[in-house]
Formats: sequence, C-alpha cells, structure tokens
Amino acid sequence: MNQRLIFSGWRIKQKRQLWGYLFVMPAVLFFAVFMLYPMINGIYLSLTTFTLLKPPTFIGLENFVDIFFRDRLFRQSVGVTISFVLGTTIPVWVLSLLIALLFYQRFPGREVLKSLFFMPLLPSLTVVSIVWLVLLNPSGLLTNLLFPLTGTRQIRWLSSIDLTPLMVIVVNNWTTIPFYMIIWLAGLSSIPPVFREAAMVDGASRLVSFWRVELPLLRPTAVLVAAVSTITAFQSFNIQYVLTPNHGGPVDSTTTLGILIWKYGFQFYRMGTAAAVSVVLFVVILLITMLQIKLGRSEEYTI
Amino acid sequence: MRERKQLWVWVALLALLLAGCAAPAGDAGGIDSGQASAEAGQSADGEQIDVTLWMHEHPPRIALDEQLIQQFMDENPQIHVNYEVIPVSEYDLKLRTAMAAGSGPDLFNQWTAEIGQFYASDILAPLNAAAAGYADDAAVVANYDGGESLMAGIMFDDRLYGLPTEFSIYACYANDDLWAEAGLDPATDFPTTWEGLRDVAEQLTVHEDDTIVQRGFDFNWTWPGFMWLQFNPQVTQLGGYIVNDSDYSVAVDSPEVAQAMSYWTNWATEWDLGGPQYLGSRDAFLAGELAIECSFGNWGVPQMEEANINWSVHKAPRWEAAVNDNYLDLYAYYFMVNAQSDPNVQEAAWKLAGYLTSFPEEYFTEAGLFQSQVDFVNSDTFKNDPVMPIFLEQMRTSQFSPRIVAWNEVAEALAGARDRVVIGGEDLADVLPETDVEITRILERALADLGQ
Repeated sequence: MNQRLIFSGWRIKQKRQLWGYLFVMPAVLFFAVFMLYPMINGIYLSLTTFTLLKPPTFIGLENFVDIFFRDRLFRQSVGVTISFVLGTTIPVWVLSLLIALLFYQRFPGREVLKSLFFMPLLPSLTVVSIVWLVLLNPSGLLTNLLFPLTGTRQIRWLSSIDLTPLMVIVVNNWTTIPFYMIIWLAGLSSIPPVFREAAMVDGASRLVSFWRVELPLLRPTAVLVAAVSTITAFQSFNIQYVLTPNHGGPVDSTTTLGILIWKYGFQFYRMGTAAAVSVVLFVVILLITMLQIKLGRSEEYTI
Repeated sequence: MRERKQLWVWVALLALLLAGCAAPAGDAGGIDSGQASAEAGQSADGEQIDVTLWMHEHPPRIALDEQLIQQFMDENPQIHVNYEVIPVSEYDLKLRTAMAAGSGPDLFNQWTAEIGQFYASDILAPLNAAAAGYADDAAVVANYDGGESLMAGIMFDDRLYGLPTEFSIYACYANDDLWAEAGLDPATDFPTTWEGLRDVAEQLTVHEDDTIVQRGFDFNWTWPGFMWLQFNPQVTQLGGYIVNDSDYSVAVDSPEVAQAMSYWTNWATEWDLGGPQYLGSRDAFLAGELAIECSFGNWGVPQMEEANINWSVHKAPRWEAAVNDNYLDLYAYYFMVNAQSDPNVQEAAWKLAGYLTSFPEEYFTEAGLFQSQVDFVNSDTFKNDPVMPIFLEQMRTSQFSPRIVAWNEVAEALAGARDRVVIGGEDLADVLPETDVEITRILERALADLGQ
C-alpha cells in the first residue's frame, strides 16, 4: 500500500516536472535559437575569414591580432566609442538626476511639464535623428537662431570633425535624459519619507539631507542607471547611422564599434572581422554587467 | 540523482537542437546544396528545368521583364523561370547571403563594382555563347557597338562572364535657367576642361552673406562609390591610376592623384565653390540650387523633367594637360550565371539571358536602359534620342573603374583620404602615402581572404 502511494506520488511529481519543462520549453527554445546559437556562431565566425561568397575558412585568432595590432579604424573606433560613452553617461546621470529632483518637488503645472519633458522618448531614435538632421542643416533653423551669438549664417554641425561627435552626443542625451529621469523619480519615490523627516528633525539642511540620506539610498537606482546607460552607449548605432555623413563620418569621427561592425560586415563583407569586433564588444559589455551585479550585491549588505 | 539525469537529458536535447541549427552553417557556401536545389528543379522525366532569376528593383523594367519571360517560357516549354525582383538596398547583401547558403539564383544581375569580388570567388560561370545564341565570345563582342571597351567590363582572361543589361556613364547636365540668369549659355559656354569648369562655376555661384545659396558645380560627395566614378577618371586622364586591376598595383601616392585631389580640396576650401557640407549634388540640382551636375546618367532625365528643370546635357570635362581622352568612368550591369548551378540549368540560364538581351529597343524606350547592340545604335530611335549620342560618344573612349576585390572598402579609403584633407585640414603630402599603404593592405588582405 505504502509502496503504491510512494510510486503514485513519484509519478505525480514527475508529471508535474514534465509539465514544468514543457511550459519552459518555448522560452528555452527561443533563447537557444535566437540568442545562444547566434552567439556561438558569432564566436566561431570571429575565428574565420568569411566574405559570404565563399565558405568560412578557419584562421584561429588572426582576426583579433589584425584588429588589435594592424587595424587603424578599430583603434579609432575604440577611441570614438569611449568618448561617446563618457559624453552620454556622466552628463546624463547628473542632468537626469537634477531634473528628477526638480520634478520631485511640488509646483503648479508639474505633471504637464513632466509629460512634455518625457516626449522626446516617444518617437524612435531614428525619427529623432531625422528631425535633428533637418535642424542641423548648415544654414538651418539652429544656425539662424544662434546667428546673434555666432555672427555666421553657416555652421557645419555635421561635417566638422570637432562638432559632429559633439552633436551626436547632444542629440543622444536630449532623447535619453527623460528616460533616466523617470528611473530616478521612481527611485526617489521609493525612499520612505520618514528618513527625510528624521533628518529634518535632526536639523539637517535640504542639501545635507539629500547628500547624506537620499543619495546613499538611491544607490541601487544609480547602479541601474549607470549600467543601462553605459551598455546602451557602448552599443550605440542608430543615431550615428542616421545623423552622420557616410554613416560614421566625417573622417570616421563618429564611427563607434557598432557602426564599425556594420561597416565590416555589411559594407565590406568582412564577416569574420565584424564578428571579432562583436566579440570584443560583447566582452566589454559582459564585464560591465558583471560589475553591475557585483555592485548590486554589495548594496544588499550596505542597506 | 534522477533530477541530474533529467537535467542531462534536457542538455542533450538542447545540444541536438543547436546541432540542428548549426547544420546550415556547415553548408554555408556549399556548392552541393546549390546543385541539389537546381536538380530538384527538374521534373521526374528530367525535361523541365527551373531557372531562378534575380534582378534589382528598377520599376520601369519589371512589366517588360515579365512579358518577355512569359514569351521565353512559351517558346521554351521545358524551361520554367522564377523571376524575383529585390529592392536595391537589399540586393547585394541578399545575393551574397544566398550564395553563401548555396541557395543563390541561377541567373542574376550585378554591376561592375562587384564583379571583381564575384569573379575572384569563383562563383561566375563563363559565358556559354552557343546557349545564348552566339557563335562564340567574339561574336558577342562584335554584336555591341564599342564592344571591345564595353564588354571589357565582364571579361577576365579573354573570356566573357556575362551579357549586358545596361551600360551607363555620367555626363554633365546644366540647368539652363540658372545659366541664363548668370548671362551664360550652356550651348556655347559649357567648359571642356576642369580648369574651365572652375571659371564657369565661379560665375554661376551665388553668395548671400558668407553662405553659398547656389552652386555653379559641385562633385558628388555623398557616397564613397562616387569617388571611383568621378575621381578615378580624372586621374586616368592625367595618365595615372589608383589601382591597376590586372596586377593590383596601387599608385595613390602619385603626382596624378595629387593633382586631382588638390582640385577637389581647393574646390571646397580655397575656391569655396562647394563641399561635403552642402546638399548632395543630385538633390541640389533637382532642387534648382546647382547649375551643373555630373553624376547623372541618361536615366536621370525623367527626374529632371519631373522637377521641371530646364536642362541640357554635355560631355564631362578633361584636364588641359590630359594625356588620355576618357571622360568619367563607365559602369554596367550584366547578367551573370551562378557557377554553383547545375550545368543544364546554367545552359538554360544563358539561353534566357541571350533572349532577354535581344530586345535593346524595348528596354531603352520602356525602361531607359541602354544596351549598345549595333542594330539598335544604328536605329532611328537611338539616333534621334536627345541625349544618347553624347553618352555613347563618351563611352567609346572611357574605361570602367577597376574591377577589383574589396571595391567598396577601397572606395571608403579614398573618400576617407579626401575628407582628411578637405574636412580635417591634413596635409595632402602626408595623407596620400598613408592612403597608398592602407589601400595596398586592404587589397592584400582581401586577396588573401580569397586564397590568392
């Protein structure tokens, strides 16, 4: 009797497990086919030379040696990418936090202003880039608006080695700051008011209260904002593709690693080299993600 | 323990799945799969042959293609044609990807810039002249006006690898109204030299404050490929070259390239007549903001008519000290046959290509595509055309851009050199030797990738 009960229980458990596996299977299959396999194949391709017209030929680490030691464009792209990451992270963190703090205060018309401020996030980055492309015409609206200050009717916003990378950063930040502002606002809202009230009771000024109480409690939000913005910046592609001349110009001054991968893969048909650059980018992003996980974990002990 | 076993079962299943996914990768570029699909096109009795034809999208030709393909199938009931039209922006990548997967078309249309890479990759079948309706390759060349130079675009080691669907070359169009406003007449004043072009362009350029609101002439700075078609012939006129496609020697660091590059640089900087910061030359011409444009072929006329531009067409300039009499670079599209296809399918594909290229007048009148068959060139339709005699005259003495591997990458390096000088303000004397080395390296690597 006991044996039958045990056997029956085992079968029920096994049946439940089977259903569990079946329910999980679509997600596992999706991940395997659309994530895992391309990733593994990408790593394999990085070890080959592959022009698409002939089968890939295994060449070991030659592509990596090539991009690290002989490829001027790769080295330049790394520099461009780092500049872009710096320009679209630190200023974005500070500005989005300041704006979030502003919108955290109560004032008339706050919700309307907040909605208006959120609007740049609604259209796709491609649409935003096209709108800015019009605004940044050398003799366009922006140039004419700035005429009293600059005294010139022509500014080469997108055909200058110095100005174009800056404009790409400005346009990117214009559209991403509202997103991070919302995250900061969510973080600020999650801080129990009792902490601020206690600080006030102890005689802390508003600034001291923010610096000593709220900012430390915003650390998980800060880690999230930092990680997401950094990873997104490293992967940046759309804005450079649409906004800049010859997709990454002028003179490759806006050729990020994302643009370089596209160029190597789909303009020059050097799929092996493109895959090698992808692997490098993957490793960089992986390291950032691991750092985020580590910082996130240490947070658990801090609070 | 049991759970661990189950885990292993799932891991094994996943591995099997991945192996299944990986299988097509093993076939990448595999010749067998292409042959298999071709053989699958044959019916059980071995008579019917399927030919897949890929064309890039050119809307005016589609209806004519469909009509002629139907006629061809009616006349050749044993051959069935699968006609696929692919958007221009997707065509190159789709064609290459399909070739890599062994599922490429049996017959396809491609232009001269890509031919070097395709030939070096051993995927082009030599022309089967008999199947295409000719006695031999020489008969094909003889069938075309200027055949020696025009068919050179698809000839390697004295063998033909395709039949032309379109020959083209750029000429210079003038906006006659803008010329009249400047007190000039294109019929008498159009410059024949690059030096003269500068003088005329200065008269046609209109400034407001420190801004140019109308350019006299400007190069097409937009896509690096235009560098080949406009810059390379300037170098050739002077007796130099950028890349020699027969031995892959590079001569970027040369007086001829320096002279042509200086002209481009001065145009945008010292003479302040245009540059990469302005609207692309084609768009500017159609918007009535540019008086001379030299990157339209004969196919550009309908766009000018639609834009209500009062135009006239002229031959491209040459240098005063030119040693060669070429104009701008030729380019062409050719029907090519996939060497991976079954021999019977290849033969049917050549037959189809021969058939479709035997209607030059129809393709010209309905789709604006020029095929220079002798009979057509001698016809009234051609002779009475307002622009074609000028284009043909230019074609007779001009050359194709080098048909090399990595054409796009070399074009990008050339445009990069130009922009370093024009936009970056670098010294030409520094940039040219570095670009010479860079292009040499690009070509060496590209050839090595192909095992050559």
